[in-house]
Amino acid sequence: MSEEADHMTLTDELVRKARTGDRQAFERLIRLHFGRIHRWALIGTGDPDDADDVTQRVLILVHRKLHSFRGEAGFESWLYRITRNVVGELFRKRKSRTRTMDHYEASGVEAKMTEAEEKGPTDRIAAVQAASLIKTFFEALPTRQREVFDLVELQGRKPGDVAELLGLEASTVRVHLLRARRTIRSRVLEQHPEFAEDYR
Amino acid sequence: MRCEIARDRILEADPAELGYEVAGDLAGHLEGCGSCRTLAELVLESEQALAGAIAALEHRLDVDAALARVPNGQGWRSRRGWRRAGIVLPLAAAAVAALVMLKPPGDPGRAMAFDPSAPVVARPLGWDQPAPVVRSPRDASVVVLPTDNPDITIVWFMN
Repeated sequence: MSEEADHMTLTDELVRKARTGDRQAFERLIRLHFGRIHRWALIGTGDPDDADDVTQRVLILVHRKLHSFRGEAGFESWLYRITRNVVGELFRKRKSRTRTMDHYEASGVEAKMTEAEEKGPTDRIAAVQAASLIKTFFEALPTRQREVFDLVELQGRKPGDVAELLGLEASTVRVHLLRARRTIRSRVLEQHPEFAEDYR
Repeated sequence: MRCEIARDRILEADPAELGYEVAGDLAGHLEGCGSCRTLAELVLESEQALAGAIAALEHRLDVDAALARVPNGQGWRSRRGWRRAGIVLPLAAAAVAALVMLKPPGDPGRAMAFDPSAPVVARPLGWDQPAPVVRSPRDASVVVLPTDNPDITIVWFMN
């Protein structure tokens, strides 16, 4: 049995037990999916602190609503919908978007990148582009494109699985993916005019 | 494939295609064109850099701390439950308030139980019209509680 199938079987088993009020099963279920919830929250909000708040709220909602989960869609899709709703709720209340760049700079990643700049051409590319790319990712891409790009391109999920997870048609996922790639890669090319010269 | 077309394809290509090990027009072009290949590599490296930058933002809430804030047991009333409670209580209060203005026939100070099959009709004091103001549901048990105040009578309908 594949790792993914094992994961699903374990999830189903834990959901069944947690629905009967088994606290231990609930906690195992959450531990199994915690990283995903937090990542979705981060991609949705673009802010690590907001991602923490969203994750906490999702956990409380999952605990409260688990009895109403009927298993018609997969548990992961259900979890995803809750996370997305909580992110939406957060922005409706606040009416402002992300503070990603503040966090990015504060995280020290930029300093590490600058340090890496001296090591070689690949690192230099990373140093110059990471800050700009993350800004493009969170500020230029609409939420749906960001979600699809993260799941397929950065996390290596299959587009078909992502379509199921997001409740979209596979063709829609593909369109979002192509648009997101084009936006991000165009930004990369803008930063390297020497390549543009080659194609004139 | 011309470089211009290849460049356009690079903007949307699957990362596997940019690796130029796979079969296909673009991959074939990348194999033979150093400039386009460098561009494809740049795109791939940039996406790796983006992945690393996003990972650096994941300073993650501690799972134990998060679970500790999730209440134990079924202490959370569902939203529907609260809604139901929110409707039922005002309805009950409104029913009592309406009945406070009614007085049934009979001696005050004595509770009266009626046969459920016979609907009870209560009218406000001085009401001499035949139309009932409050009619009990069919087959409901009814208890009428006169009070010391002649203007106040409490009527309970029980299923």
